[in-house]
Amino acid sequence: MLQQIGLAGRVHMVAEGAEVAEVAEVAEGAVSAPQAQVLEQPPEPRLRSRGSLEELDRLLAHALLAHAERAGSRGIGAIRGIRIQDARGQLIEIGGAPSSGRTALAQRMSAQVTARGELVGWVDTANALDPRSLARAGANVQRVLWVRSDQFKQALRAVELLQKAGFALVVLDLGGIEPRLLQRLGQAPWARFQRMARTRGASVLVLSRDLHPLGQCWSGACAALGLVLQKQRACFDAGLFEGFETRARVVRQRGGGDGDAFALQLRQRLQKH
Amino acid sequence: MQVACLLIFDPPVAAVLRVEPELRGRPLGIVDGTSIVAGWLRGSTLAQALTVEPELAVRPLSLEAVESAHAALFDVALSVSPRVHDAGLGRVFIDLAGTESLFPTGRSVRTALEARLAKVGLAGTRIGLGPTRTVALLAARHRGGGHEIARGQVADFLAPLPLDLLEPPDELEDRLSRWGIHTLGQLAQLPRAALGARLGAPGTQLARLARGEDLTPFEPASPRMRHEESASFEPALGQLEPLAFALRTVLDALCQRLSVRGLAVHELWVELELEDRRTYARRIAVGAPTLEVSVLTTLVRLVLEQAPPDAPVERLRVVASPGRVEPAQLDLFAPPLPAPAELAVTVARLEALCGPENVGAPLVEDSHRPEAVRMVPFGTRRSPLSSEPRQPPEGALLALRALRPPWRVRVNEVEGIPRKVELPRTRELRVAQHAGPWRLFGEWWGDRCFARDYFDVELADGGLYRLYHNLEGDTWFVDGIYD
Repeated sequence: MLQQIGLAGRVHMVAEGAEVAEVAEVAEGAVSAPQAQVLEQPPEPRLRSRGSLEELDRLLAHALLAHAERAGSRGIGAIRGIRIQDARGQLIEIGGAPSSGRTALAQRMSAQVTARGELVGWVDTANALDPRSLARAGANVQRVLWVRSDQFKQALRAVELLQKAGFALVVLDLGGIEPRLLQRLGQAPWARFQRMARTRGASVLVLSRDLHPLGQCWSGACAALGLVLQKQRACFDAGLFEGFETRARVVRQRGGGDGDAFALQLRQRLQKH
Repeated sequence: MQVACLLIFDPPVAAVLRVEPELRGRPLGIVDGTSIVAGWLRGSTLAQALTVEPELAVRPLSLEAVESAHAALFDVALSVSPRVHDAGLGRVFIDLAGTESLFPTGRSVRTALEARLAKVGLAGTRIGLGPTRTVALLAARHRGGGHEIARGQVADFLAPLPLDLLEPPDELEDRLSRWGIHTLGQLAQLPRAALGARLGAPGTQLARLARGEDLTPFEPASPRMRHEESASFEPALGQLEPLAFALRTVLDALCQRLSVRGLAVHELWVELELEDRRTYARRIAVGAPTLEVSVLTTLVRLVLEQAPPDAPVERLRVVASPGRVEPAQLDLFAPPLPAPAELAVTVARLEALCGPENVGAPLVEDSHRPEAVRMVPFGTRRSPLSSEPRQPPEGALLALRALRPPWRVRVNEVEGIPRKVELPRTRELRVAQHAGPWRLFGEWWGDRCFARDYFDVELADGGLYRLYHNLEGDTWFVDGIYD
């Protein structure tokens, strides 16, 4: 059984590309003692070891608060304790192959936004949004405006309209867009999204399927945060699919921090404590 | 009982001035065919009128515009009291009984009515107040109106008024004139029986009116729930831009009418009569009742742009279904949402961009069929139940990316368990791990019966897929990717 790392405790990770090591301090009943012994590995010093959803939230909150920081509305000390749901107004890109966990993170963020009563726009170029998953993630689907369009220009225009209307989060799922179209796009639309995000306070979350040839974000320097996810290990246990582990690598972070990585576990169901 | 009378002196002229207020103060003639039927130089031919007054503005008689003006007058009356007597085009009476707490004096009623009449474009409408409808009408007619007559002042007010204010038949007026009867006071003093013996029923009725009595009881009219405004174009409009301009004027008039009654536009019905005698009609739902003309114009314009009329437009008619503007209760802790009207425009723009079938809120249907989801119209109204913030679960759950339609795949199976899967445009991939099967069987009572064995599989390419075996057709599908 997978254990939610964010709640369980500290994670140690091994060298890049290798399998994610397991939890050092685990919650009660999460991993049996012999299993924990086998899995425990020495930490890889190059990677940040505080891997978890908390780490992701910290990163997202940091990215989203960058604007507020510059505006002087919050002290630097506020960042450490801030939660993702308190921050808004930046462009974030999460890339990765199918089954890397991008959609789960976007749905989680949507759930946090709808939980505080705000609206989410989901521009879906692949017609891939599963409302059941979205609802399971905790999102109030009545507060999600689903816009389907397989035309790239239409999708970009839809994002702008949603930002202008005051949606707190606009998710742009580029799953249905060919990489060649993304390559031709240039930086202008991303810069526009970023500018609008700042002025309107509407965050944009871009989910990209294919990686940029240079291994960066498609949105380049416009993104406050760029993450690339890579699936590490699926967990099938006792005939059940429990979830999988994924590794998030920071490819772009305003203010530094590129190359940081941390592990995440995405689960089929949450354990009751 | 105190009654207020609202009187439009020349309804065809008022109807034109309501739409074209810039003509106010200029000589205006309403023409029907070749003769002037209302306004300046009434009764003369158009040629004669233009010879006498070359600056004369001439507009065709539009009965629809006159009716719209009367409907606006009726709306203003209803904004003061629910008891309104409709006495024909350009004339309504308001029963002011029970409105004393709102309008303690006659002056306050007049001020309120004047402001509301100006709002709906009927400035200049005469107002009269009196204890009966007859007195109120005469108070409105006499010297530009604006008189307020108390019950004890009726006889003094009526006595000096000329007889023609009652608009008696010409024959009767001539006869009374020959008798030396020129004022209402003189007529009222004549003995009733003798007057009836000589002039019959018309004479006695005229005498009752001269005393300020009403001939019929007050009949409250039921309020209209259908609000309509129209405009005709000569020549017909062939382009969208001038049509949008006219549309704005019409919607503005409609919104002003609704606003005096505390209502807003909930739904619009736009009807265009085309030059080739065809009719183009569209229903436009407004997300939340609104009175913002720019929002409504944008909504209608988006619809017209999406499917423009294919012939020039001769006449525009807009009908509004009214609704109440729901006050938005702001929250100290909840963030402000976009204004419902603005949101409706955004949704309309998105529908115009991507198609109405591609914009909405996702809805999971009440079905065990995993793909049973659909879109419903998006709304942001906070219901009491949903206003409570719902905390998302701690941790991250797997998400499924749906494949629509599901990929039909070839599966190499052993005893019902998939071993290799050939996805579209890829080679055959080995199943590295799998979970399942679990069976879904349902809707056996209808035509959409389904029976499937579901598997979660990890293929050799690293992808995690949801696979199902359709037991009815012995076919395999991938309907989602875990992500």
